[in-house]
Amino acid sequence: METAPVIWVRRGGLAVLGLGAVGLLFFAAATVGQFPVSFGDVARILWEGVTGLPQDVSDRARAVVMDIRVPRLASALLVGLALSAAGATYQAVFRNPLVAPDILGVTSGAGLGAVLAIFLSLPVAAIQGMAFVFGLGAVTLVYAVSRAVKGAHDPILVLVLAGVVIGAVMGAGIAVLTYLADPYDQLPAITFWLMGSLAGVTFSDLGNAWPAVALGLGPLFFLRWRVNLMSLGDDEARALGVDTERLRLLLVICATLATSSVVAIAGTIGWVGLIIPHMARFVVGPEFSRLLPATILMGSVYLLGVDTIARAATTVEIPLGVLNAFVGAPLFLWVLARARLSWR
Amino acid sequence: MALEIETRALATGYPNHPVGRDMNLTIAGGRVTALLGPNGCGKTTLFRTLLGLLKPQGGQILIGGDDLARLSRGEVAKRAAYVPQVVEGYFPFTVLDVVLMGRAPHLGAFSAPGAEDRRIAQGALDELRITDLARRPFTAISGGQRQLVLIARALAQQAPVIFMDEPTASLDFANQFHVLDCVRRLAGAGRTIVVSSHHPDHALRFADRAVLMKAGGILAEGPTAQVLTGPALSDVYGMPVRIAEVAAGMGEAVCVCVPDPHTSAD
Repeated sequence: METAPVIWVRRGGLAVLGLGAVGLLFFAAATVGQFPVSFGDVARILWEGVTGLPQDVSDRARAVVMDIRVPRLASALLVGLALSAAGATYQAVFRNPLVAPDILGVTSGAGLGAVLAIFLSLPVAAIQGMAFVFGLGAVTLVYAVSRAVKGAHDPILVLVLAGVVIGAVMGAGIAVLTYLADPYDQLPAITFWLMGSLAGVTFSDLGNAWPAVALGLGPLFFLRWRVNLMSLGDDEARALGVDTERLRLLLVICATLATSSVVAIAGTIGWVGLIIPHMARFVVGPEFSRLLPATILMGSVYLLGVDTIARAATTVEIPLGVLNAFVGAPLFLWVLARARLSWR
Repeated sequence: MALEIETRALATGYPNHPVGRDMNLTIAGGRVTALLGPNGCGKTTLFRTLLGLLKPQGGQILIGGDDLARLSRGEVAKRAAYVPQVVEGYFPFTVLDVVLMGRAPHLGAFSAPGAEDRRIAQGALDELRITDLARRPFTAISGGQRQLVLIARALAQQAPVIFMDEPTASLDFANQFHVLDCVRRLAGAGRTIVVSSHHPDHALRFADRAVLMKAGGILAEGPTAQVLTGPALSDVYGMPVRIAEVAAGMGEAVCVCVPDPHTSAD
């Protein structure tokens, strides 16, 4: 059997390796785009940003990297890790490998809340708050509906269907607001935002979102081993001393907070929360202490990669939502074909 | 230390749906007790009530002399472990991970199992002779092996009382006896084991004591051979049966419950 130090050294090594890979990818992504910036210039600009020592680079390169690319890359990391960690949590808590923020209606619920806030011309903090409240409302409704269907043969399917239904209702709410919105002022903001995009994310948006994401993911990190117990039946978990109702509520609030805070800045981005936990489980197994870091790493790398392609592959930017669906759907089919065996 | 469980005028069920009533039971410490009765007699409800998963609708449960209602979830989990019927998990946890989950009552909310917990989990696997399954996914082993893994998880929980819900259901013939042998061995180590079962034969074979239930009440309890008699079983199952002794060879006799050929069913 492995001793504790060996395990810690290996985990530490993996963490350094993973973070190194993210850093390298971040760096490489900062050089590509419509306005190419050399590796050396990116390094100098970032060095300048960190230390404050002026470096010899063109103002244009500096503006492109610091004002456009860095906030966008950072938001890709933040959105990717928040959605995928939330997805892994929902899957464990609801004992259901087919759920994710978008499937449980959290994304569209948070979307409705945010659109309503834009419609009422509320400040940024209110957009975040409304996104959270509506997201939590949506997932609560979905769970309540699935519980109300007594004696269902396939509880997994009922939960997914309830998510589809509540998601559709939220979508209708968004449609009504889009219809009523002021076409010159509010509509473009709503539409742009509903497509899901990282193009408009600023440093100040990031500053608003990351503390909420951290607040959501922090408890998940500390409770990471306990989350496993939620994957058992309720009676089993309770017989192991777990207060299942309280833990479930806490975990759902955390995952919903992380989801809604990134939805509030980047709009509705699908697939990440569904496929990344599966891919991570495929690599490190379902044990949540290992799954959570792996999911966070893979989620951030995935969205950073896809957004960079969306941004730089062609002369006209491909909308992130479009590319994400084109990449995500086949990936999910692949996961579905592989994983179906191990669920049963 | 063998814990005894006692119920006093216990009523089970739900606020608008009473199931069991006026149950006075003593489950002897360090023994195997079999709980028998037809479908719908309230076995499962009693089980869940004794485990503290369902609130009693009246009366009292004493576990090692303490009132169950006064114990927290975690304290109950340190005293009584639950071995559920084998279910198919959705996530392919390794067998070792599943057994380690038994350590939950001994760990703080923010802790994960450490070296000592791993040693205990490994010991539980060794005790059930399934050490070589440790790295296998729980979803990829046979039903009989899964049942043994769930028993190992209960051992890792280190609770003096273990409740097993029909541990032989859905197992093939050989696995049924393998699991029952394990149950016998575990009781030898001073544990109090309560097993619900549908098979009088099994109870006659492995249980020290038996509790016979009918329509939400306790019909009889005591040493197995005295409780599981032909007339009592006939009454409970509504079908004439008798206990026959079968020569198993080597001078041993086995008691089995068979339909009575001399009486018609009506």
